[in-house]
Amino acid sequence: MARMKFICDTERCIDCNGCVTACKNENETPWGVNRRRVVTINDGVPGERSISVACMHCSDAPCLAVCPVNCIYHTEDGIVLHDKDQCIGCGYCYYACPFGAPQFPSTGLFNHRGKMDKCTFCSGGPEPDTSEAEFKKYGRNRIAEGKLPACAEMCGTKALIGGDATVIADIYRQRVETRGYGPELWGWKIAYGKPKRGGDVKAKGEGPRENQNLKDSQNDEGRLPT
Amino acid sequence: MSFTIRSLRTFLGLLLSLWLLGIAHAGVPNNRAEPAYAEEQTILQAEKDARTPEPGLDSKSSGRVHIDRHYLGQYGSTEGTVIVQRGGNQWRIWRNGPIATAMGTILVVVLVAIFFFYRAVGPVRTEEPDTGRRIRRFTSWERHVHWATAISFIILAVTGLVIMFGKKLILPLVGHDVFAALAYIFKYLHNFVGPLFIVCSVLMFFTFLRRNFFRRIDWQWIKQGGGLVSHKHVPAGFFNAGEKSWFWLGVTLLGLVMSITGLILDFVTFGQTRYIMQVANYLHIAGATFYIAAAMGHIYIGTWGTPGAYEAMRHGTVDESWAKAHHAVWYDEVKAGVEPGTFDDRVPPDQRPPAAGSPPPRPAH
Amino acid sequence: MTLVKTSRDSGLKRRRFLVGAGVTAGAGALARHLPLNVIQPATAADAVPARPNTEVKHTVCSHCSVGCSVEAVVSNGVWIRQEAAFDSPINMGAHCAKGASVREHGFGEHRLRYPMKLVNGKYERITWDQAINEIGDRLLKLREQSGPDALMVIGSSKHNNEQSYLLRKWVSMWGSNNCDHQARICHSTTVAGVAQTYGYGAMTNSFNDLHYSKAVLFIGSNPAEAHPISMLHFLHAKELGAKMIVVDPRFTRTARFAHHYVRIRPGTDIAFVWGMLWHIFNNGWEDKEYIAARTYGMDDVRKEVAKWTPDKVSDVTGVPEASVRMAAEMLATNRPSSVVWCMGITQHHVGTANVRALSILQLALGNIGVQGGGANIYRGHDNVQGATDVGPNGDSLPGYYGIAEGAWKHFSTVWGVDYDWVKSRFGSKELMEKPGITVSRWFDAVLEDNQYVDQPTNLRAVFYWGHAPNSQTRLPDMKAAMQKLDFMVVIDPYPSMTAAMHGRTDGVYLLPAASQFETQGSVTASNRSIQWRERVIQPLFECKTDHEIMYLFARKLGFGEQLVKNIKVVNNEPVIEDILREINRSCWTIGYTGCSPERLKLHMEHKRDFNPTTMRAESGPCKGDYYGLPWPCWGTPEMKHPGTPILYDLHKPVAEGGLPFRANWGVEHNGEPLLAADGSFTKDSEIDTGYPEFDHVFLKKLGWWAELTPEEQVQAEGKNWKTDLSGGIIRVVIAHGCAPFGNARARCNVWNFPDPVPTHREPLVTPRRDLVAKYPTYDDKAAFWRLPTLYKSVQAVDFSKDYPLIMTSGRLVEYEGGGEETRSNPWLAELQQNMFCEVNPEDAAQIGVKLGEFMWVETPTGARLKLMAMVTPRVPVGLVWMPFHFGGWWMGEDLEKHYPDGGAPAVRGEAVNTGWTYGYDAVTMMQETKVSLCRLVRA
Ligand SMILES: Nc1nc2c(c(=O)[nH]1)N[C@H]1C(S)=C(S)[C@@H](COP(=O)(O)OP(=O)(O)OC[C@H]3O[C@@H](n4cnc5c(=O)[nH]c(N)nc54)[C@H](O)[C@@H]3O)O[C@H]1N2
Ligand SMILES: Nc1nc2c(c(=O)[nH]1)N[C@H]1C(S)=C(S)[C@@H](COP(=O)(O)OP(=O)(O)OC[C@H]3O[C@@H](n4cnc5c(=O)[nH]c(N)nc54)[C@H](O)[C@@H]3O)O[C@H]1N2
Ligand code: HEM
Ligand code: HEM
Ligand code: SF4
Ligand code: SF4
Ligand code: SF4
Ligand code: SF4
Ligand code: SF4
Ligand SMILES: [Mo]
Repeated sequence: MARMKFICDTERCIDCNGCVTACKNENETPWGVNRRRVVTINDGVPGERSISVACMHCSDAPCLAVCPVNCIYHTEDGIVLHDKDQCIGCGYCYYACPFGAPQFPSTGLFNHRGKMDKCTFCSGGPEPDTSEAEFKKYGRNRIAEGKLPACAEMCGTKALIGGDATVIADIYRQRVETRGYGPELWGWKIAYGKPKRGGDVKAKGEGPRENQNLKDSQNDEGRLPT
Repeated sequence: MSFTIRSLRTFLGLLLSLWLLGIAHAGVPNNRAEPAYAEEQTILQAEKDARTPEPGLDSKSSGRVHIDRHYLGQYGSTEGTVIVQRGGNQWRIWRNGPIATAMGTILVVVLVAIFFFYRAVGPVRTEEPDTGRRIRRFTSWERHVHWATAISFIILAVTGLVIMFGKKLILPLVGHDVFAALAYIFKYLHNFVGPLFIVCSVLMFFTFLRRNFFRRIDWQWIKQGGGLVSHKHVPAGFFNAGEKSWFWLGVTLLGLVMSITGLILDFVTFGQTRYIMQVANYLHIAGATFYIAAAMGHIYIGTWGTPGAYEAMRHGTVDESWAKAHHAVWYDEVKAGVEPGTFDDRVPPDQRPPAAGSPPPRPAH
Repeated sequence: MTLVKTSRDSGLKRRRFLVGAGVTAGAGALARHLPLNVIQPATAADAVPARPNTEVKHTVCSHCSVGCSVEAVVSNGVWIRQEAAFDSPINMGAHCAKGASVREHGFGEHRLRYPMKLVNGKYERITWDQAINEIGDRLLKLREQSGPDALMVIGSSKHNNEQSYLLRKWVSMWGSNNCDHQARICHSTTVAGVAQTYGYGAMTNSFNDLHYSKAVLFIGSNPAEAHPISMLHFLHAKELGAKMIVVDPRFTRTARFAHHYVRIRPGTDIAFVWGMLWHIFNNGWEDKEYIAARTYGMDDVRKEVAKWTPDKVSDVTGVPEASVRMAAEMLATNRPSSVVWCMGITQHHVGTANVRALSILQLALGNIGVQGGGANIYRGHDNVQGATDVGPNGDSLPGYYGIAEGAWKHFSTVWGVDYDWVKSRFGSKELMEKPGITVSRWFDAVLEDNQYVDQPTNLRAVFYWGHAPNSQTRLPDMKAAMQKLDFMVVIDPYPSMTAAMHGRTDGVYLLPAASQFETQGSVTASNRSIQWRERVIQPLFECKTDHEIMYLFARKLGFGEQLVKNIKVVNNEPVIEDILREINRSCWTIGYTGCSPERLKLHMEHKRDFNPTTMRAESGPCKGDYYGLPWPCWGTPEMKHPGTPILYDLHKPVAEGGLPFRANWGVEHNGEPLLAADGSFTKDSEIDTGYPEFDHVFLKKLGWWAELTPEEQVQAEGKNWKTDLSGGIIRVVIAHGCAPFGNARARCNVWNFPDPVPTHREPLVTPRRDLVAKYPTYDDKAAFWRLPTLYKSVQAVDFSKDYPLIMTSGRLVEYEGGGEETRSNPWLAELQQNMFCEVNPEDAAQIGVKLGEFMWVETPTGARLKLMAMVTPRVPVGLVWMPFHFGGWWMGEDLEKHYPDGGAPAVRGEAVNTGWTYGYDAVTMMQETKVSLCRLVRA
């Protein structure tokens, strides 16, 4: 059985926000609702990395567990979807989600938030597939059209890959093996098991893969040497 | 009264430990926690690289905030700069697990206990027959305040419990669509009645404050356990020590807990982070548990447990013998004129005037 | 693999269906072919049928020069969806935020909807007829009173090739050279510098070609934000082991990927490059054979470089000695290596010299004309390359023909009009051959005393025809000029800041132009590939396409007939294909001749046949062609030249895209040969030495004349390869394996430039006053592009005490240019809602400003900018950086109410150029927007 997942390759992501906008465009979410966002760590210093975050379609989804009306569900592909007709807009899924994925059209007084919206892995919702009603509520159902998520398809550097976990893990593994670095960032073993060809993936490239020597005055945030 | 020193102590202890849990929980993301699942782990690993400092125990953010230029006018949810918050899954585990279990257990146990208590001990009746002379106990204002509070409380309790347990108890019976509609109404009912309840509680606090200061004789009452089991009437003032504890621990303290946490959960526009709301939720549930449990006790005593008491809140007056039996000190004070103007010979407004010599009305049960 | 979706509520509404989704990718074979590990679109076994009436239009993103393809799904005339164009070898489906948002243009929430006119300080709706007539009458009056040079037409790099070409033609027939477009303030210095060094002013290789690079030096370029999809190719190269060096004052989003990051003091790049060359020469890392065979004047460079000992370089640039050496070694010992530069290099008063220093560096390393090498100049706007090639340039006619008499005659013939008629349109023959006023200075031509303006009249009217005002420096001066003008016309899909900043109460017209998705035409990407855009939707609202507007005005002004002599007009719109055919017939110099509309459309349709590394079609009807026929695509379309993927590449025959360096400056200079050495020639060339460019005389001498057909002979007689309208000379020459433009040496010494060999000159506004005496700027010039231009007198003033911080500016990925389009697009605007200034934590602490707080940036012009502090170690102490995309605020005041109703962009902010100081390149009048000084004040 397929299990749909995303990986964002932080060795590639350039914070171009292509994924964020692709999602906006494809699903026509309003201002204020962003199913995907890009966060940069160590902004402006060596070791800077950007990562694109959306719903991870958790196998053991906290949002699903806390929803008071049980309107969140797993599809057989492991995609986490929800029913907006049933959602009461309580925000519990947002408190619970580790990735801040659930979004609300408003945050008003009396905990008035409107219907929760989140990444659907571009697979719509409980309405009939590719129907107008489905699009209005959940955005596009690309999966039903045989397409993959818009964000991953349009990713500026192919950093973001989405699809069947085994397939994307394979792509990622292959990439890592080509370039010789990366997996340590990714909880590789925990997430995707051992590299295909056995053994640990070790850094093959000589020297540091980037300019991370903080003592180097060029890296130092220090002074502009005038 | 269902409050004994012991239950009081346990209650305080529980409240304290909840606070401690909250504080321990503040170190989000909790890296020591076992990864819940691989997806989360992968992102956590990326985050490990961060050299930016983690928010400490005093931070109200729900994870490590990363500042890049999108921070100026964040897009996405309020914490668009947090990659991963471990508190979320933790909250789910605690709320759905031990907290829900404890709440359910406590409420059921208290309910059952009251039932058996009633079966075993029965109501506390006055020893002397009613004299037919009514003493005014509560003014119309006091009664209105009481009932407004009581009704809003009951609405909050019922709607709150449905939000919490409805998906286990009601949803299987009525199906998703009906339950969702119900929950939707209940959610808004809860969220709108909440502030109303706070207003009522404040009014109630000031209305009954003066008569709820502890006096020396209350000690006597406490020592004898209010005579609940022994059916001995322990002399008491206007309110006895049990009622006073209800006032102070229930209405006041738990009222505060519920109000503060409720407001945090209800008015989400003030930049509360998920972390704050998680902690508020823990306390809200804990408070609700004890408040509802205590209210069940209060209601029991006010109705079946103490025949005649309901009359006081319903119509404002009590029979002289009831006053003498339950609040001897107060009765004496009224008689001595220390509490002026509280004798009232008028018949309760919704009752026909009693024929002379006919037995005074008794609580029906 | 099968995807199964079930509804959650199994009891109530279980639905189950199958979708076969072949999520292919990565694995084995594909990985070798497409090593980018792309996820291909899943193919549906059982996909839902497409909507009726939908069609897919192929177009190209309009927000930068990378040239990413876009697949627009249109249903009943509405742009309903945007799909990833996996087939394009350039972007393979990828987009940055801007490209992923272009569908919003199809709604245009904040667009200009109908023509408007400013009346008593308020914009009022008028009809197109009224607009054309009123403006036309004013123009005719203006012409009568002051002559045609009283008008400045600021064209656009956003126009497609055909519109750009037509606009140059329009201005010529109006009778002026006062036209310009974004390239002036973008890569004009590159074009001038590189063309004078190698022969053509363009990127030599392609983004895809980086796959072959072993090392890449990014200097003054931040592709992660400015050319995001180029990173798709570069990161692939890096994963294959390419070394990466980034030279930038800021630790940019690109720098974070670097193996070696060099933080440089802005404006000292020549010193840095000479510092690198010092190590290269010292260690013998240069390519001696290459230098001997293919370059001229390298010894002069050696002399200059010898002065730049490591300690001196370090003192001037601020880069530690070891760091310079490391950069030199990485680049020199990992060949082929490529150099990428951009605005950090070009936007300086020494921009042209900067550019040439880098061109020379690549020559010394023998990196030009090789796969994986090259001077990869990442250009700016989507069609800035095309507009530079064939568009409104004040010093040249399309195809870099210049504006001398010969050029005018060539184009008079092509246009089918009389040379004398064209001449009669101008103020004088002298003015006809004098480069026009530039966009960077137009307001000076309004404000200066008439006696100092090198034309009979001051400017009295301006057309902003697809250009934003906030991209030019010294906005307070511009505002003063705007108020002095007779009238102003904005022709743009958006009102732009022009509509809001002028402070006038009348005399402003706003004409709604169609965007590039509402028209069709060809667009030239940075790598010279020309792509065809299909019309996605009809013009929105009352918008009209630019070429229609040009035609309407021409008709009103009395040269309508001449403008479209060889061009069909349908519904007032000159037919785009016909315009392109006219370009094909005229622009021989740069080989815009083989790229007929038919061939370009075929390429777009068969994108998938092109290999994403080599860019060559491996099968299908375009087999053998390079994607988009990167110019020069020699000869007539019938010749089927495949395009030139890499310039000056000797390894291929000219017929297959090979080329030597261009012979453009004679055969020798000062006794040194300028033609290539013996033995240096393109593959299969019949001439095995250097040779000059071809003309009828040379052809006859070689005995190749007879190979021309009789008709060709008639046309070619007395002509050279550039002016032979039959293309016969080119055909024959290429058949013999030769390059029509000759086989020469690249010039390391450009004797016709202010600095024949680039020399470091301190920025005009510099904090290093101690270096000013040693490395002074140029002398002031009296008449330069028709205006007096200051250098030394600006540098003489010491601002460094009052304004202690260096300020520089640049780009954010979400916004483009002046930002009017992108800040009006809510999908993008949401991502960056505030104008800010990056400031180092130490500097921020000095004025006590915290992250997200407002502060004032004050500059030596007296202007003050109110913006948010972005406190970050990305910039070093002593330097601040600001994005230049914001506009709509004026020194703390929001101009929203001055825009026409509903026309203000979603996000507004202070324009950095409101505060920017004086400074212009000594060759091209490029504005200096990368170094100045400022101080911060807490707001
Ligand atoms: N998102 C986006 N993309 C764009 C555009 C856009 O507006 N937005 N515009 C397009 C256009 S028109 C162009 S021209 C290109 C420009 O693309 P780039 O030139 O790459 O972009 P910039 O940010 O202007 O400048 C690049 C870098 O030069 C550095 N720099 C400043 N001064 C100096 C110096 O003296 N020396 C050196 N070595 N570096 C210096 C700056 O810190 C900056 O990081 O981008 C194109 N792409
Ligand atoms: N301080 C500072 N200033 C700079 C720079 C810098 O780095 N720092 N960079 C400079 C550079 S490199 C450049 S290229 C310029 C860019 O600056 P501009 O080119 O002035 O900025 P854009 O916003 O791209 O302007 C394009 C205009 O054309 C309009 N437009 C789009 N499509 C069409 C069309 O089809 N027809 C018509 N008629 N109009 C159309 C848009 O709405 C927009 O108003 O800025 C320069 N200014
Ligand atoms: C159906 C539900 C309830 C009933 C039947 C009930 C009944 C009573 C009665 C009979 C009294 C008077 C006792 C006396 O005369 O000494 C009383 C007092 C009081 N009740 Fe209730 N009550 C109910 C719910 C509540 C609730 C929900 C609250 C608070 C949230 C509350 C707060 C009080 C207070 C504060 C007093 C005064 C006692 C004191 O201040 O110590 N009651 N109630
Ligand atoms: C004093 C009586 C109250 C009781 C017994 C009570 C009980 C509850 C319970 C059991 C929940 C569900 C918690 C969960 O599912 O995790 C809840 C949620 C909530 N309560 Fe209360 N509550 C009370 C008062 C208030 C007040 C005074 C307010 C507001 C001012 C309030 C606002 C909320 C809010 C906002 C929620 C979240 C539910 C949602 O918005 O969907 N509550 N309450
Ligand atoms: S919303 Fe959050 S918790 Fe739920 S599946 Fe998505 S990532 Fe997991
Ligand atoms: S907001 Fe909606 S989806 Fe989220 S937990 Fe509440 S009811 Fe469920
Ligand atoms: S999968 Fe679809 S819905 Fe989810 S973030 Fe990507 S584009 Fe948006
Ligand atoms: S599109 Fe790709 S590279 Fe760009 S921000 Fe998103 S994940 Fe990163
Ligand atoms: S802006 Fe440039 S890089 Fe981004 S999608 Fe458009 S063409 Fe591609
Ligand atoms: Mo540019």
